[in-house]
Amino acid sequence: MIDTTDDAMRIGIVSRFPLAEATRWKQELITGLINDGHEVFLVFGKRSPVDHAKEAVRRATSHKGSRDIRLLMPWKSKSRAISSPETYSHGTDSQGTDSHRKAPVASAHEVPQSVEKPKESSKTKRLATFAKERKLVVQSFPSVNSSAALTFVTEQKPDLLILAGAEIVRSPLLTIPQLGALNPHYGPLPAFRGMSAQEWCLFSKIQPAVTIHFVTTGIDTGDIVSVTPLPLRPTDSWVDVRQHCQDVARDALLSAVSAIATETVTTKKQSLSDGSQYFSMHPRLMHRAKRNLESGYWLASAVSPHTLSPQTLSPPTLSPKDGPHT
Amino acid sequence: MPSVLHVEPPISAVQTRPETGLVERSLGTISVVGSDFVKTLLPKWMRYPVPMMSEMEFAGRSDERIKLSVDWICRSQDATSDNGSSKGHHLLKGTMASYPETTGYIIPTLYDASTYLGDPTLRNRCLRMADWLVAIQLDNGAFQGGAVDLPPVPTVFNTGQIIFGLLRAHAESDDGSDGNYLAAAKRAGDFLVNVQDADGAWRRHDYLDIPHVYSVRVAWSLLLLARATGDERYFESGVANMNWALTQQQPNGWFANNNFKPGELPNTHGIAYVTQSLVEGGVLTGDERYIESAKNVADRLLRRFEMRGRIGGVHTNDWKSPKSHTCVTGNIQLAITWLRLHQIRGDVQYLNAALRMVDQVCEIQRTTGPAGIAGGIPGSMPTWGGYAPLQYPNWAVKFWLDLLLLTEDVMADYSDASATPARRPLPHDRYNG
Repeated sequence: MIDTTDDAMRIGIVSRFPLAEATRWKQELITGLINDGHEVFLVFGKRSPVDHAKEAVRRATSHKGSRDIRLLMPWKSKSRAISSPETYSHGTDSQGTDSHRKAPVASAHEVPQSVEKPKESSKTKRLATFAKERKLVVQSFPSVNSSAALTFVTEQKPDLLILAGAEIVRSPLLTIPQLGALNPHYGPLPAFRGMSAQEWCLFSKIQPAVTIHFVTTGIDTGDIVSVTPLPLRPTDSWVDVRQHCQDVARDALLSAVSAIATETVTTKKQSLSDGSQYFSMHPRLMHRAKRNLESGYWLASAVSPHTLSPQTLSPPTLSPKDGPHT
Repeated sequence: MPSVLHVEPPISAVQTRPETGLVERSLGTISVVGSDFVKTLLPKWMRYPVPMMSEMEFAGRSDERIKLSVDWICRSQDATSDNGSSKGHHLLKGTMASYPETTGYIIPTLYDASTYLGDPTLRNRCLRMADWLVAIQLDNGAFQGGAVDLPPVPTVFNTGQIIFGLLRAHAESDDGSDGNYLAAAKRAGDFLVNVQDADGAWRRHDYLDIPHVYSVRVAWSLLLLARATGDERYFESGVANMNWALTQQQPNGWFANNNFKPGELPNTHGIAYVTQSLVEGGVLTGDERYIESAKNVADRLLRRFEMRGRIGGVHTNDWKSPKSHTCVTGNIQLAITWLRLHQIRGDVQYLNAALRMVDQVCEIQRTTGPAGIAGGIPGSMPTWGGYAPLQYPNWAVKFWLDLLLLTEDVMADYSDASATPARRPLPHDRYNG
């Protein structure tokens, strides 16, 4: 827990789809930030029903086939809940064992050891509802890049923004917070920029990881704060990987914010030549990625997940002849 | 003269199925145009939904599409009285006359399909096409531009494309007794070398007597001819044209002088002619500059396709697309370039984009309808768009087949043996073999 008011920051969480957004890890992140003494406000983009419908179609036709019914019918209270423990602590997994979840950022600052988790276990509240219940400032816009949104964010005088599933943000928004904007990226940077990064890791037999980085106008090109490998287990399914990403992102963001608040954060610049930009993976390639996940390739990896760092990650070199299928 | 090495059915026997009736053709036209019109009313993100399929279903769908497309090509040959492949199906005018240029480069595609499907009758069709081409070769070794119902005017680009078919027909005549196809290809090559300008471009005898960068596809055919004959003149001519093409490229990848007519913007079809030819030129000569030049364009359009889900039909010199249509034919050709770059450079992003393009074209290809439409590929989307408006050209289906066959070839390396049907391997390096 941060115990000095000097370390407290005003943090804006930037997300989208306010009628449907109900992801648990974001609520846990907000709870953690509040417990750390920070002030939090929320900005949503893509608030229109058309935006929600587009996203519903996109998700329904994507390889994951996920269907969030609330994107089409916001009045529905249930979302597809992913089971998670009643409480979680930094450095512990769902079984309560000390495993891979320690925050990667070396920080002398004390981080909260336990965060109150939302009470709902079988269903999750909408993020907007959750925030309003805690009397946080919440505002929705057609786009977070709109002039109205920029005015709102400017008035909030944030020290830091956290992009939590936000749309692509433009330069004017990024210049508002004094300390910049953080983004959790579900892949190791600089190797895997762009979309479906965790799937591309699996496809390329690279250890999946979550990177916390500062946001610039490029896509996933900002300075890296931390790269945390996912604590994969041999029995993990596709859904488990996504859950790991969210858990690791939550913990790593809290650690990064703590380090920024105490001015102990260290960053590493990216070089574009060290990686590639990836796009949404086609289902036929997804099949190979799933097979790789089932193979548990990371167990035999010569590179320990704990020792992975941005320096040890390199872009995959694939070829149809000696590529990941062999 | 046509080869006498294989039994040729009498012309009367291959003459065709009757032209589709006016009523059926009209209904087909209304159906196509109406469906395209409805799609234009939809937001772009709803036009081409990605189907949810398993790996096996995707592979099965490819097989189905390959058969459908081969059937279309066969019908395009059967619809003519000369053994050539009809230029295509026009929604208003019906079946068009045989087109020597595209019949030429359809031959290698049909040979590949024959191997893939295990259908030997397709090989006979190829030989009939090749014999027809030999029969209509002009005295100076050139082939005419346009369809055969136009006056025969010697044309550089068309001559180069026919060389592909003649060389493949020669290579497939494995009893060693064939000489007509290679001899015809050499006469065509001699014509091309003789009319080439000193800077490597073709102006004389090319369309409208102006230089076209897309004629680098002629250079590719000359490189293949050099390999088949050992004649250095063809090699030097091909390299000279490829080097000239590089001089036309801007730093942002765009090629000047790549339009069909003065004042037009280059379309995706012509641009993709250039990219694939430069890639194959790079492979044949070992000159990385050609591959890098093609990559410059391919990367830019790949990014656009992945980000926006579509590629414009024409392109300004700063890669803007002022027209609303997309050039389906060119998109397919671009995907072939991506797959070849994937094979050469190993970057899986090319494969990913090509698979997405296959999905999109599958949504465009009709599986039912009148003979000219079912299995056909429109030149543009919507069908009345700027490239080959209201037409289902035969070269669109040719490139679509090339793409499907190459995709399955590449995916065989990535797929689970247990999850996909057994594949019949295609000749390695068949593009340049």
